[in-house]
Amino acid sequence: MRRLAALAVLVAAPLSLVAGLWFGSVHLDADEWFRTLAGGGADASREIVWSLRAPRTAAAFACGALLALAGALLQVLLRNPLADPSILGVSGGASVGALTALLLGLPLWVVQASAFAGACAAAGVLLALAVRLSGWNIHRVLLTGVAIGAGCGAIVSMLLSLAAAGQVQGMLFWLLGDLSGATRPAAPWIALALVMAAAQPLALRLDALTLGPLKARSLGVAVGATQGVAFLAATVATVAAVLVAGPIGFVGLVVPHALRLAGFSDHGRLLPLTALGGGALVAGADTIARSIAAPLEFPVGAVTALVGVPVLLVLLARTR
Amino acid sequence: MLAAANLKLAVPGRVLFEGLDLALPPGESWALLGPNGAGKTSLLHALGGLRLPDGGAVTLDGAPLAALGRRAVAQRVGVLLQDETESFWGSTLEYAMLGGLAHATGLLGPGAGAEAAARAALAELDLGERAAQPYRTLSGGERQRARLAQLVVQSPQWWLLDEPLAHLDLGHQLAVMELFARLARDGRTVIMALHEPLWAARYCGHALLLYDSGRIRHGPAQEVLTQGHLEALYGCRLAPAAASTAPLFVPIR
Repeated sequence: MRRLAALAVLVAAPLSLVAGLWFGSVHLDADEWFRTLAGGGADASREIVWSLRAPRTAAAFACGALLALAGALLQVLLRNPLADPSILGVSGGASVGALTALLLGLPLWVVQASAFAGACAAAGVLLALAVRLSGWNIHRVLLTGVAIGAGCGAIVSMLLSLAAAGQVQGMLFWLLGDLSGATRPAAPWIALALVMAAAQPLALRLDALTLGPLKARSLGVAVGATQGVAFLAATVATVAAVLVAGPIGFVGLVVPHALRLAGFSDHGRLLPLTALGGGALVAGADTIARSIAAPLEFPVGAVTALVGVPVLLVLLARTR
Repeated sequence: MLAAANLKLAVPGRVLFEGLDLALPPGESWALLGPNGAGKTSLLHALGGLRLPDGGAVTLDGAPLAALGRRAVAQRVGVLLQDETESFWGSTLEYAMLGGLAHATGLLGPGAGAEAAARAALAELDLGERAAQPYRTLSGGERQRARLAQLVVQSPQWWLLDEPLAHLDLGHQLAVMELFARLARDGRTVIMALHEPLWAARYCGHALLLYDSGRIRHGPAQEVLTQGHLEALYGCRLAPAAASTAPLFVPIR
């Protein structure tokens, strides 16, 4: 089971990237596609593969990896299997920002800037309260995140009810996760590198934290510092992913749990596999979302859940 | 030397005890006895740096524990907790290997040496055949021994044990007490919270009694573990019973 799962993730990751370049609303025949990959091909093909599909697939992969990593980290921090990046309230803040801009009919870059401002405001409130709280209590911090998220959800509902019929679809797309605006994959990849660099050295300490903070301390873990770094990494990961892709749900829940159910409990291996699995899931789901009913496009968040739910259910049914 | 000076511990609304001076030199084995709620667990946590004293200090070679890094403390002081959350997903072997965390040097995890140490520790605790089994599927007594195996991997100088015999059958109670006796002979220091004075009398050279009133009595086991002291400690009458190796008291009405 362990080997099979690892193999599946290691194959799915590059496969999702190749599929992202291969499939799309415009069909390229195999010869033309290979010529384009090799650097030749018609101008139109090069434009489609390298300027449209490549950046979008790369961005999708990085966002999936970030969301899955954030989920894995939050599940250890909270020692709650239901923890997921949306619990930080950051997605809620970004949604309020984005939907406000959409409601006012502002251009795309303003929507993105507004989402960023919303995410930063939510994260800022969260971190400010975290620092203010005497004796850093991770559970109180995260409950604060849940409260911020709930508040943002209420504002989102009000914005949706204020919107004209024509605007609602664009808003719903944003809320369900939308990668059509993802033309610059560098930012999420830089965020991914930073988050991995911060989280991977913590792997053993995160293993110990699953035994509870007191036990982790007795084993030699500086619990507060470890929780702080992991919490910050999860926040950065969530903000970066939400700004590019919108709040894609379920990745942070399904990928780490699927790997845990397959037998990966040590974070030394769980974290990199989670990143690869999350990347493959969202990159694959985005390719399906934009090509299966082209030129119609489905929200990537919906496809992600439709692919992820059966995988998780099968694993749950098979594991003791 | 792990030592407490003028130590005071309190829980909300109640002072457990104050003015405790205690030194735990190498090679000594201590029993910690007292009624429920007298502060045995709190004392062990304070000695392990898991909680701050409400007065006085706990020092390791003269330095307050709070001033030392967690890693430095864990290399020398190990704690067996009474309660532990059971959300660990890994195998029993992986659980035991976490004991090596304080000594781990690499970024990628404990090396092959740590795995060999964990296998040896599991074998020592009679869990060799459970190595690959998920930790959460172990029985209560097996988990207790897995925690002790983790502590063997951690290999501290000071062993602070909160009810080490909990959940263990008679045979394994004897086996782990023998393990602690070996540790003390090898120059380690063991202090264990126990509820059975018989084990204390047979295996511990020293005893510390924590009374409900906050009173403390400690010294050589044979001077401390007398019928009178134990009756006062537990608030019930005791009668001596015949036993081959150590005085045995049974509660009577």
